[in-house]
Amino acid sequence: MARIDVEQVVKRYAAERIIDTESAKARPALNGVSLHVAEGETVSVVGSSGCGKSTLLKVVAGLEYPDSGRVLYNGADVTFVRPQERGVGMVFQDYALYPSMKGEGNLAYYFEVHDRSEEEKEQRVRETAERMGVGFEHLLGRVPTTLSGGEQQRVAIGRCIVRDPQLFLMDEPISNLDAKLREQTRVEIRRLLRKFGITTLYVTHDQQEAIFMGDRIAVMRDGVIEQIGTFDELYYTPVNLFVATFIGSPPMTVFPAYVSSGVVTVPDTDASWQLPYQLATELPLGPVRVGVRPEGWVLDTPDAVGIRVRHVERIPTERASFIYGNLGPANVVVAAPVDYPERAEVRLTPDWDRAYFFAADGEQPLHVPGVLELF
Amino acid sequence: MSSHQPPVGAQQSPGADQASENRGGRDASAGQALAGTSGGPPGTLDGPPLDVAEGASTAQPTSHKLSRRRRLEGGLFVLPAFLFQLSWGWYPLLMAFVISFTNAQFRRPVEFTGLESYGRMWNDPLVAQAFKVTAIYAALNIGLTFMIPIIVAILLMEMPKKHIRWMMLLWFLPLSGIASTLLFRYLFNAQYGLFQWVATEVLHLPPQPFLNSSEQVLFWLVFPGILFFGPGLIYMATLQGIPQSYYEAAEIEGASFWRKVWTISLPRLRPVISMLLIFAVIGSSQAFEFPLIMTGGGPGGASRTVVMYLYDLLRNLRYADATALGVFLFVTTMALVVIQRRFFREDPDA
Amino acid sequence: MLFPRVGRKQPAIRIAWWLVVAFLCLGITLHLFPFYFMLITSFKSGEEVLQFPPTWWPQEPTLAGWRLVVSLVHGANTAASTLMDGPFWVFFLNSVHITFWVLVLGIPITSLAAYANSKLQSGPLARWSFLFFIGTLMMPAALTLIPNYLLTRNFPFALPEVPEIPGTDIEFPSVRIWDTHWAVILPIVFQAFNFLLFKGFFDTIPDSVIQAARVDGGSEFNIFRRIVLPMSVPVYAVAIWGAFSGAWDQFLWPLIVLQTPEKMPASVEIYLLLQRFTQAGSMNAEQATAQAQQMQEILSAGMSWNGLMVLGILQSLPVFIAFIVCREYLLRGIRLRGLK
Repeated sequence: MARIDVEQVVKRYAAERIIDTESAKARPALNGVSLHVAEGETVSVVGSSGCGKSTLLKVVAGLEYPDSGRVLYNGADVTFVRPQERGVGMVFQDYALYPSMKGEGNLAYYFEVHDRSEEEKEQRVRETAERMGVGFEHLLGRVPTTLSGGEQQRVAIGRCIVRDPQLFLMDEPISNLDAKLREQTRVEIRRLLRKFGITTLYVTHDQQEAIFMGDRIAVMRDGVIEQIGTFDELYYTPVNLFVATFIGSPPMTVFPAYVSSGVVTVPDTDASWQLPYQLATELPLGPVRVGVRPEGWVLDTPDAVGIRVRHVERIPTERASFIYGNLGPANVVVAAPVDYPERAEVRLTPDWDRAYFFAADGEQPLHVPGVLELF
Repeated sequence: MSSHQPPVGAQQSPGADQASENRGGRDASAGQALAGTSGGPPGTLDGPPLDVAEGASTAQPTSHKLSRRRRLEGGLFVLPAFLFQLSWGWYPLLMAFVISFTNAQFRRPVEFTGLESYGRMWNDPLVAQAFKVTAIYAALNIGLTFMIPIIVAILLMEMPKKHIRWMMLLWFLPLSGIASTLLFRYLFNAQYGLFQWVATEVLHLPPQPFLNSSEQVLFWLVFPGILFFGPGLIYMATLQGIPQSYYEAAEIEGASFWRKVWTISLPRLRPVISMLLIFAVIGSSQAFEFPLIMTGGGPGGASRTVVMYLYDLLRNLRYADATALGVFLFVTTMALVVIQRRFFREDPDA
Repeated sequence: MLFPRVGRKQPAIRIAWWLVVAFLCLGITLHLFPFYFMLITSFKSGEEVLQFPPTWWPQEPTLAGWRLVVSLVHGANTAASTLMDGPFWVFFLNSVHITFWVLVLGIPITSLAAYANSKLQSGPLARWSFLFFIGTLMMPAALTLIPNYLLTRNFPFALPEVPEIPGTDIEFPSVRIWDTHWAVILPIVFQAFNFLLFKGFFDTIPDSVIQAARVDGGSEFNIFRRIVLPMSVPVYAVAIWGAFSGAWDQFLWPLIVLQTPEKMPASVEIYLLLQRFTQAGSMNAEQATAQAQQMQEILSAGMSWNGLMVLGILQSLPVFIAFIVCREYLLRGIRLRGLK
């Protein structure tokens, strides 16, 4: 198992064109990324497509070399060490099985190119089949094109663990599976990771998946890791507006507001609320942006502001419903009990213990709730 | 040191540089982390091959070398092709321009004479005739034969799946070039050829001179190309790659047959059509073999193409003149290609 | 699907559909006709091939043409040997020799370069090297004909004479491959079109497969051999077929760089034979009589268009077989995307 340190990595892809235009040069895929993964820890990297998360994985794997910065395994610099010498296992989004080889050949390729003995190869493949559980043996004799997505994925994971990697790298391994299988595989991978305690970097665009898989979660945007931490840290103490809106589903409602002597008003609407004393002293006067998560609203309180209901989405499985409306220019989402009566208007107040305040021009937070002691 | 397992990386590829790297200072903590954590089930491999990495941390130049290694491997893949393309592709091309400005002839010292060979070429009536012949030949050839494989490929893809295969094989069955030339020369024979029979017995025309007529000869040279349908397979392969859903979407919108051809099939074929049109222009502008074997340039030079004339010059060992002719042909063809590229500029996928 | 899948029963659509079928069948018939006619002509007698109107089926099928050609191939026919430069098997062997080396050198070299360009290089380097390799595709072969010819004479100098080392009267060292098969082989080892074909195919192989193999530890060459090669059988089939028919049917270039008659490939020799056969009368009187006499002998031995057709069939056969062998892969192997 290994401890991974990524230090100030910058990676810029060369453009295909011969004459570099300014726009092609504009932004590196990775712009000074630092990341530390402890032994046996799983870190999920989450971000929208094109944010550089796959590039980060490739730099850690050694498939791409950074322009500057270092990658360390257990404190040793491996920045320019070739991937095969790093002892990593990688699972790709499209599984990347070798189409001309059967399942067994896919697992055995590692031993073949490393000049290991035939017995060792067979033994390891057998062991992996045992570890991968029921029915895996059966997949080994088949050609990848005849396997279903889920089966291909199992072979890909088998190929990854057969070498006993010190680092697992997963690039959206389950996003090509259908919903039910995805759920199942997610649990399966989690179980494997727990069982072997292998250090893992798990890249995904799905925050649910990231939360489920990762001990810690790194949120990336435009080649930069915005924040890294446990779910609670990201959720309650986001470092900026981006992380705050990125984490949480449905996303946080953010609306512009104006703070003046203990009162917060929303411009261009008649909405205004009294601020609790402590918050009022903490916040600067003037324009701010207020963020409230769906569950951060209190319904039907005395000083509430009326909001027209656009539509209501009921999620019976979670015994909840979401009420959508507008507050000035902003979309408002409110979590309500599933049996909340349908009406044309709801009256809302932010729960000020759970509200976020951000600067009006910029992303830095002015006040965040912090991890709640109660929970 | 003794507690270390053997460095796996060095075993696999005992390169001299790696061996020396391993002698470099080791990071003790890294080594311990390795040795201590083979916590897997029994029978695990030697410690994961980290050891190689340790050396790399000691010296910056080493890592630099490793980053170049992949580029080097890529270079080795390319090297043979690079040498061949350089020595038989670009170098002769450059020399063609050089030679055309000299008086190069057989066993004669080479001197630069500027545009002299171009001047000779300009005043040579045979050159003008050859260019005229080539232009007519190329125009006829492209006009009569270029579209056929496209149409055939589009229509063939309409056939039921199980029939496409054999129909395609029969349509594009190849015949050796020299053999088809032999056959057509036989068929075109003015006394006993099959085409004469068609002309006189079926169409009741007076006996035709075919290849012996300076007016008709170019048409008859192009004619066999109608039967042997060039690069239809390339079109079929490209059409095959068009997702079915495109046509389904068009069908839902009620698009007619022609509309589908015009808005889906042809735009998807466009890059390939554009490319093959360039090849067709270049190819027919240097027609040589077929006219040579069919007519030898006759009658009276009516089918002597530029390259045939160039071949004559070469046989008379007038290298510079021949090359000047080649350069001139190249310049004219390129002008055509550039014009053609303008028409096909946009790429549907790009 | 240009024809709608539903509503085929409508008369208009049915008629259109059958018209298309009829057109395609007519085309197939016309296309197969040359094959048919070559075959029947080869079984006609020497007199029948000159008959007018031509016959559609040999009146008296005879193997005379085939027998004559077999004797030509063996070199056993004395009458014909005056027309030819040796037994015909020599020329076929020359063709085989040339084609063999073109394939053995050309296919690996071209595909390795295309693979590197597609998967190992990136950025401007990839673009430049792509242009470097396909740039000559746009250049007419006629332009490089002379320099290439001179190059075969005085490699590496594309000049009529090897220059002398300045200050001495010793020539620079040079290699003469002119009038050897290598002069025919080397210039067509790297073919830009095949490069384009390979590159188009390799571009469609997902990068992740190659990255997975890199993580597994294969060297770049091992990845190419063990992973990429088995995936790329179709494109190899297409390229081999193309390169094979190109090299086998080469005509102009061997005619220029080969001089010794015994070194000619079969394609050139068939042309020369046809030339002598049809132009036998157009020489001076003395030669003409001698030639005419020989022609008479040959004709009486059965050598006429029928014999030439047999040679044509023999020459076509390998191209034909290559096409049939590769047929499964032809459509799957072509993934061209134009010159971009």
